[in-house]
Amino acid sequence: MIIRLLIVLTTAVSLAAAQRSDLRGTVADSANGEKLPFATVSIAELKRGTVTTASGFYLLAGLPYGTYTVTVSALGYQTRTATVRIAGTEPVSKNFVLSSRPIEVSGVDVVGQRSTELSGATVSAHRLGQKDLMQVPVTGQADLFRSIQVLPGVVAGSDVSSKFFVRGGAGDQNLIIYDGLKIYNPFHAFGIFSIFDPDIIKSTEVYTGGFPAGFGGRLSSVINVQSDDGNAARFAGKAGVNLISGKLQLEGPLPGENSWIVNVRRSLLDNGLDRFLTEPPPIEFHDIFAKVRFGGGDYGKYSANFFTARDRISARSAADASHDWNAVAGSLRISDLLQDRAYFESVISYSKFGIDRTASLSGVITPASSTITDMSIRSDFTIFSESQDLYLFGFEVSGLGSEFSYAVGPTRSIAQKLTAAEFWSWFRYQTTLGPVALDAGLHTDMLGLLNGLTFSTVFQPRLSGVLTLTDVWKLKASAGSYTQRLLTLTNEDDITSLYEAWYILPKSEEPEKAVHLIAGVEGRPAPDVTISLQVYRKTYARLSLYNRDKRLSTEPDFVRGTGLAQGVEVMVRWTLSDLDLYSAYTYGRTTVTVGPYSYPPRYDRRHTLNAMATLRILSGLDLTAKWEFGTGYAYTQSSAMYFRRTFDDLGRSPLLNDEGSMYISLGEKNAARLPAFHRLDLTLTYRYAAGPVRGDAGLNLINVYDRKNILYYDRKTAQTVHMLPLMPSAFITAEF
Amino acid sequence: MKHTIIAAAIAVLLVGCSEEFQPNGPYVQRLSVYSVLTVADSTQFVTVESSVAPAAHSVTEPVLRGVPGAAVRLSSGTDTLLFRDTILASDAGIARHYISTSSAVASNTTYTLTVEAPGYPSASATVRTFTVGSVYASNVKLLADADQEEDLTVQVLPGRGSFANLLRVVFEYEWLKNGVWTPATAELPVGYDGERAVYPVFGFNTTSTFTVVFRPAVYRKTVRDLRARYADSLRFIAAVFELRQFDQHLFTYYSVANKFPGGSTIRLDDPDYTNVLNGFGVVGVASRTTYRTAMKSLP
Repeated sequence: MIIRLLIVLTTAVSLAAAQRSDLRGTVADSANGEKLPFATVSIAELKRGTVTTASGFYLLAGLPYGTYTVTVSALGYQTRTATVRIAGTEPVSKNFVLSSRPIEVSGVDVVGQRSTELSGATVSAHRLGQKDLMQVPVTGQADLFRSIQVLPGVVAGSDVSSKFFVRGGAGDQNLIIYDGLKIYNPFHAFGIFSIFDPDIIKSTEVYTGGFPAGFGGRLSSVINVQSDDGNAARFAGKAGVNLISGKLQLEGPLPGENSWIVNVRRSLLDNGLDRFLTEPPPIEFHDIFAKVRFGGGDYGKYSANFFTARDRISARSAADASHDWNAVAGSLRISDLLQDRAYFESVISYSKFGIDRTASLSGVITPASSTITDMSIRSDFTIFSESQDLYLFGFEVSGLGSEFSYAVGPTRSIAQKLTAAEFWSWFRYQTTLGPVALDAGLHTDMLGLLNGLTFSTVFQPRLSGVLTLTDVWKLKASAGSYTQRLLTLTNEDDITSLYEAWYILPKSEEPEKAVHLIAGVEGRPAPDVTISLQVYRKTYARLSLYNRDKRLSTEPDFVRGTGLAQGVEVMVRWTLSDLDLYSAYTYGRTTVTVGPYSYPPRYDRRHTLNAMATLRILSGLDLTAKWEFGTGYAYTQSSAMYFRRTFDDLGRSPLLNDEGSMYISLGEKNAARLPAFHRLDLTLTYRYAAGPVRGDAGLNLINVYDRKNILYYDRKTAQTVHMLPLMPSAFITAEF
Repeated sequence: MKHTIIAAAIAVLLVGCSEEFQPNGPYVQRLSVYSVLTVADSTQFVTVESSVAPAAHSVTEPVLRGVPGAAVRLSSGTDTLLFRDTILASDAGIARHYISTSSAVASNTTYTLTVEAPGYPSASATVRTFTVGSVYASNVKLLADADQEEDLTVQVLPGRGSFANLLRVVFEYEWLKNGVWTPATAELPVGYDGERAVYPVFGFNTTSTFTVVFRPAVYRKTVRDLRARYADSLRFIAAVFELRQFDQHLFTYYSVANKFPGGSTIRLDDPDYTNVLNGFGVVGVASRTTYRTAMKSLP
């Protein structure tokens, strides 16, 4: 039915295309044949342009007959132009290959691509290439989420955690998609870095708010990661070692311009980080990524993905518990040109994440486990039109399962097994009206419709617009409604929690809901300077929060609350020939309200500043400095300790006994603030080439002035654990 | 302008550096008061302990710091009961309690317990007692042999004003331990979930008579299990039908402190509850009513 509709629509559009024809093709990396997503393809004479899809495909529909200069550019690649003649009734096919720029000082924000049909109206969107990920100084090695944390509106969990919070949203409000797979915990143990090796990441889209109708199920942000397909031109490899891990990546061609890639990474912490850190317990981890690209014709791509990651934290003492995380995921992805002007992409995916915690010998920490599984089918369709308008629609069906158990005392444990289904559909329409680019869409919760949920829950409108004021300045605005049915269970009174369980709200219950309002201005007041300013207001119309007045087991654990997150973000980037300066400042304020209680969530941070400078000292030698500053997170102070009797087995045991334990009474919820976080990191990187082998070698100096930032405070043992101290590290990679 | 920005940045940094982490808020030493007033009983106990500063002790090392010399009063209208500071010795050891034996706690009466001790803010709690309920087994034919064939039906009339009630049937028996008949008890379940015995659970806010039925199969299994355990070294004495009742404060405290037993909670935090003004702990009300009958063997 959908196919028929597509054919009818596109045929009707084609009939109107007298003396016009389409230009279509792909954009690929010249070195390895890898298709490039988000490359810009434009024709200056016609003021037309578009952006390649995730499969590297582009289409400019209904171009008047003539000869034009087509310009193709992509982040990290040399711009290329070609002359193309549009004539005849058949679409003109033109594929482009781009050469990588060997040395580049690039920032992390590439918002502001001009004259693009696919993304011209997006707001609060950032795109990161692989080189951007390598740019940000980190502990030991580059990391996707570390790079994301320098973006405006993104607040880091800690410097030994790559968990993050976006515009006052909780950590579980971020939708993380990896090659179409939904990833539920993309962090390695203790969160030191994510489970994605930057070398397998081709590109990343980050929406810090106002994300379009194609995404749903989360309230705050979307991280959409595309991985490398592998080298279709030749056998190649890359190896690397740093303070934390070692890795090996191999890739090569398969018959018919197909390719494969395998990436294996393993921790080396026994000989690395542990030398500098005595507080964190021993950590082991590995991750394996494999992908095969096969078939797909001239414009399409078929690929199969497999991914697994595992982590273990071993108990160091009787007071510690052991943790075991594991993630397994796989997908089959198909994209192709369905009809002359209709492109589709479908993904069938399976994703599972689990955590097991053993009891500590002292009994203070109790055993717990949690698993979440997700099986999904998603299809996206894009219809290109002669008027430059784009019609995008699709659907996603997911089956979710969650199991968790944990002890609530020496003899009692909680166990739940939950299942749920999600069925979403969406429609987007992108158009340009003079200086205004609009992206309007509707995300629909189809099961919510069947289950009789409210109109405003089922139908979630999204609207983004960009007004080009001058060649220099643009105004941007976005509004949208979002819902979320999955949330993580955690102890809100812990300052850091290693155990979280995914909980699915019952289908008859209205999900959590947020409304985003975003406005901003962006411009290039000078050729080398980019400035962006945005204000946001995220209204949480419904949140599921702990029932702080729960007294009996018959009363609900969660009750409905509301929230409000608002803030201002400023980003300035100044690029000189040998120096790149980047800074992002965020002022944020978040409050949640449940019943008579109103308080900031524990991840509320008032001021965040990230400043980064990259200096090209010599050819091939860069020095990068990054300074992070953030005012303290909210937390709840302990107010007293007393022996709390528990009247165990009330009704069966004597009332006068001494059953109980010491209890820590808490003060006003999240009324106190941790000290400010700040840290300076330096990285010196040298790019070398020795015959067929080339790579990077470098030194990191983490926390240059040895700031004692607080990671964790254990109320029960009165132990304060600090984040990373002054720590030198080194890395080297080699590739052929 | 540039200098202003630099100065502001340095100021922010210095402010950030000068902050100190304060995991504990201002501490006020308070009284921790525990008392369960037993309706119709003339002996009442109050336990008074002191809080300690957070992190002054490890949570794995309990500190039961009894407060001596406190003035403990239980008032109702113009009547006031005074409690004596007493050291009690029990199997669990020696403990300090405040005890009153002068007058029984009446039903359907509002009481205020006040505790004052030097160095502590005065702590108080107000509770209302309830009527003691009744329990009766109409078709009692309790056998010490495993041949019970009739349902054991128990009628319960909870007292007015109580919040939670629990009906139990307990076998009193003796077993031969080193040549000495030693008393012991076993509770009769209402059923079995596989091999796991299921015991009666709390009822709430019940004001009218209700019935609890124990099936003969359950009765027989309980008797058989005891026979299998002790063989001939066993003799049944009696069955006790016991109704316990609790007020809302005590039951709520029990529920919160034990992570909401009897239900399926998914909370990971550890909330607290108290009805003690300016203090910790709980002051609650309980009652116990029993109906006892001898257990006989088949003729």
